[in-house]
Amino acid sequence: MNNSVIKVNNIVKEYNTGTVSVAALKGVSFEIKKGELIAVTGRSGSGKSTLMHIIGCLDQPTRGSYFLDNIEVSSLHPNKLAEIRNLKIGFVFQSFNLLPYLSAFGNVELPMIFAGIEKNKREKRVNELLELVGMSERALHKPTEMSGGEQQRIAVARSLANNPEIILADEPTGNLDSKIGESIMNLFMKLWESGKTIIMITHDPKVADKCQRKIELLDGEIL
Amino acid sequence: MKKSYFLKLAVSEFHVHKKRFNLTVIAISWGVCSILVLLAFGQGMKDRLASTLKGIGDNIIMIRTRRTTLPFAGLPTGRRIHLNKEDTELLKKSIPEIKYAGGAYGRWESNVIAGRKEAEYIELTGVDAGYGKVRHLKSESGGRFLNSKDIAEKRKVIFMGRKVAEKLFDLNDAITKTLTINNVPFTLIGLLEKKEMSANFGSDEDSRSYIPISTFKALYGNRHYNRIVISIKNADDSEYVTKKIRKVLAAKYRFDPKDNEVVRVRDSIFMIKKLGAVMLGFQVLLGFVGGITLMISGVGLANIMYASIKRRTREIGVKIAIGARPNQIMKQIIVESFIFSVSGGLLGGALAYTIIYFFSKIPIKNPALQFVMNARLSFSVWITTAIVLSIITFLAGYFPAKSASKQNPIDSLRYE
Repeated sequence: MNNSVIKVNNIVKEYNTGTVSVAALKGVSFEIKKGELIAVTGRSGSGKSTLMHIIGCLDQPTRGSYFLDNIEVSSLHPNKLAEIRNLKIGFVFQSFNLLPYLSAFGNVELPMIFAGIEKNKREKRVNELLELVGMSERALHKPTEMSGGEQQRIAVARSLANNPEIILADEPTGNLDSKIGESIMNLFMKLWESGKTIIMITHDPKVADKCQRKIELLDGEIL
Repeated sequence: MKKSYFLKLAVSEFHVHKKRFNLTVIAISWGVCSILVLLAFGQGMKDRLASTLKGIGDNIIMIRTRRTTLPFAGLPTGRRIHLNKEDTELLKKSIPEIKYAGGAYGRWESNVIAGRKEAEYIELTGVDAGYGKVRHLKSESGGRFLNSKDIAEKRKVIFMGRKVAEKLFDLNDAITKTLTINNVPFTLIGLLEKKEMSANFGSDEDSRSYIPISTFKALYGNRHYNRIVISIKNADDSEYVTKKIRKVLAAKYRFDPKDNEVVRVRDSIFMIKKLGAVMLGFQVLLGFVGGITLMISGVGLANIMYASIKRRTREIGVKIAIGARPNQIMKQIIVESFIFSVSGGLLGGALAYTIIYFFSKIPIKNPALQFVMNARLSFSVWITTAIVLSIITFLAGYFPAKSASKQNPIDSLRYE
């Protein structure tokens, strides 16, 4: 056993656009150890989003292998992949992606409902998480009643619901002004200090500089 | 993961997207309602038609005789042929297909008085007890038709149609009351029940009055029947029996069997067959119209469901990203369409019921309109319609949801 949470081996991802196949990733290999804070950087079109989706088990590579917690995930059943996304990975998106008809509480609760956790445990956990992100007082508010920064805090709380190993954040500060972006960044730092593995996709150098290590992509290859 | 949660999720979803929810429910309700109302009116017409057919009686053939118009075996034309009791026996004996044959005397009487009320005239018919059975002449509750005892004892009893009875009595309290016809007292023993008779013979049954055939003969001394009423066992034999009747009577009274003017036959079976064909055509038309209406509302519904699921592609993507399994996505759609179907089905049913109730309260005198405005809500049609629309709702939600739950979540997430 080694302590790498993510091990990517020579991953290739090709997209078929009609007759031409375009390679978004051309053989990428790296390892991420437990508790690391990694920035994946690169210009748009460099393949960083594709890489994030593969790491997040939202997409599967055309070739190559991907081990998450020593499990080969590139050929798993959709239900098993759903379970991994549910329990091992927490997503934070650039555009928050909260469900508009659920309250802050309901949004944070949702991943636990998918995991089949019973009600009183869910409620306890949601309250803890809202406390952690400093949103306890807005528990019953709908996303439309919240600012972008507040929505992103709820999204971070949601990503932590099932206490995953890894937090995958796709431009988490991209839609926020720099001051609020910084407070969100501080939240991530706090999570990292508590032992989470955090992979952050960004093209903001200030965000990237706060990370331990950078994986820089250019035209589908690691620089 | 429990169903109840999906219910909660769907309800909170509907709460936010009130317009979408309302539109969908309205679409389903309207679909259910329009089909129900349409078919209710159709069913009502069908029922009226059916009861009309029943009102005529059991495969009835009615015979009257006139003068001969063709010379026969040296006998001149213009001889009057009369029917009497022996003829009913003869016909029954010679034609085994006949179930019942009975004569009827008829005459018009005036000077009809009951208490202080008076009817200008009355159409009296003398018949036996079997006549009531084959013509389905039944009394309102509390009364009865003539029976064999009335005939045997020549009782002075009378069974009346409503139209004539209402000139003399208060219809709610008429049975067992007496009246006099030319100073002869009669007891009213029955009132013809309300029924539709669009294909009656000669005059309106509601305007006739029936007394025992024996009483009639004793009072008025008629020697000849006004007509003979025949009921046959099998409707298919009507043509054959009609021919046979002419032949038997021609042999007895010595006239040309080809002389169709002598024996006038009115065959209810022929009319019933024609009406039956109309009814079948009507049913086919109803089914067709109902089907088309169902299809139209189905298409509308499919549209709304499809658009609403498509709009939520992104939401489905989010759910998949945070770990929803494809079947959990599907469950929500199923719960949603279930809610739509139940609320739409109930609302549509209630709406249809209200409309039909409203129509039933409009007083209509015109008998033709009465025929049309006789809507009857059918429970089975309601359930069928609701189920069909539910299935359409479900399928219209199911396919886009399935493709959304199967498609790459990244694409769903990017879907704006």
